[in-house]
Amino acid sequence: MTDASFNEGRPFWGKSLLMLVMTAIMAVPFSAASNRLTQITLRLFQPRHGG
Amino acid sequence: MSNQATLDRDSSELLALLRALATVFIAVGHVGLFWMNRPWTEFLQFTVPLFFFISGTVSYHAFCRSPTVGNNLLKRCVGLLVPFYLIALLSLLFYVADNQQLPPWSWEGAWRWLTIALLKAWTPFPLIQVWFLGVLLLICLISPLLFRLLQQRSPVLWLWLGVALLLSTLQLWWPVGRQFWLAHHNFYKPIVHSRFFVVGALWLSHASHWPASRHWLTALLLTLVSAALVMGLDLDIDFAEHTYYPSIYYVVGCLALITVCCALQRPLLWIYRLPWLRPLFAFFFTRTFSVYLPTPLPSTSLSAGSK
Repeated sequence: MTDASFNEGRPFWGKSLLMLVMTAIMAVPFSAASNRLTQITLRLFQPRHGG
Repeated sequence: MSNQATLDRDSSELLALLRALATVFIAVGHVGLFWMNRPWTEFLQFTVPLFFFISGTVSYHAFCRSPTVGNNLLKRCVGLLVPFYLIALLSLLFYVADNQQLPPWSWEGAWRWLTIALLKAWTPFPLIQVWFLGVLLLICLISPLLFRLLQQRSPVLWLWLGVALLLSTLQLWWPVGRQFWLAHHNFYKPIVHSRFFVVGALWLSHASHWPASRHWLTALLLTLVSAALVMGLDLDIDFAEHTYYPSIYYVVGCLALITVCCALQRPLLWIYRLPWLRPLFAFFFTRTFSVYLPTPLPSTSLSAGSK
């Protein structure tokens, strides 16, 4: 759960929207890095086909 | 593997929409939506079991199409572990930046980080929501067995579901969940939450083509059972009192709400297909863990900035 102080003194919907936008912005590089690393890891473990 | 599960366009789009909405609700829920107007907003906690339900449908579909069990299991586990280790690495960097030193080494700590069994005190920002990933990983590890039992229509599967139901019923009178701690993992959670996962697979293989009326009837019956439990046993209706060690009231209540989501398929699909909303849903659908895992980062940094 989030730090309780974050909930003090901010209108709920404004705060939530701000948090959601910030999370979405962070999700873009996080998702790209995570997908790339997942592909690399799978390639390491899965046998290669063809060739 | 034989293909017993078909995911048609409507079902696929419904699951994509539900996953996107659940991602947003959980992200906003962790900054206050869940406790904004208790006990009513706490009912939105059903979005966590909804994730297990959706994972069950998607995993079963993938299991039926995968060439081997090992291949399927590898993809699922890597897909869960890599985002977690990435957020763990970020967490470590934050810790080092904050404390100018590495955290103290311990075998217990290393085991907890490796197996997704974190302690709140050991993370620089709250990462307690990763319990979901740890539970999902354990369920995924036993999922080939559960899916095989489902394909064979084995009574053992019903026995498993019955045991999960019995444990969550006992939880109302006796803290049975506390007895399931082993190697810093609580195995009560995966057992009980595997119900939602299996129900997801069952829905895909049997109920995804049900008419809305049958979904509504099922939802009504489950709601009546929930109401009977609350009134008959004088339970607190607030889901927050039933989530840590899920009780039968929480299990049945969440199943009722998930069934309502399935019953609302037509209006939900109408919303999903609005051209101006679709990219937004696609964003959250394709980045579920990437939104879910770093959720506390912006709120923690905002909190720090406001102090």
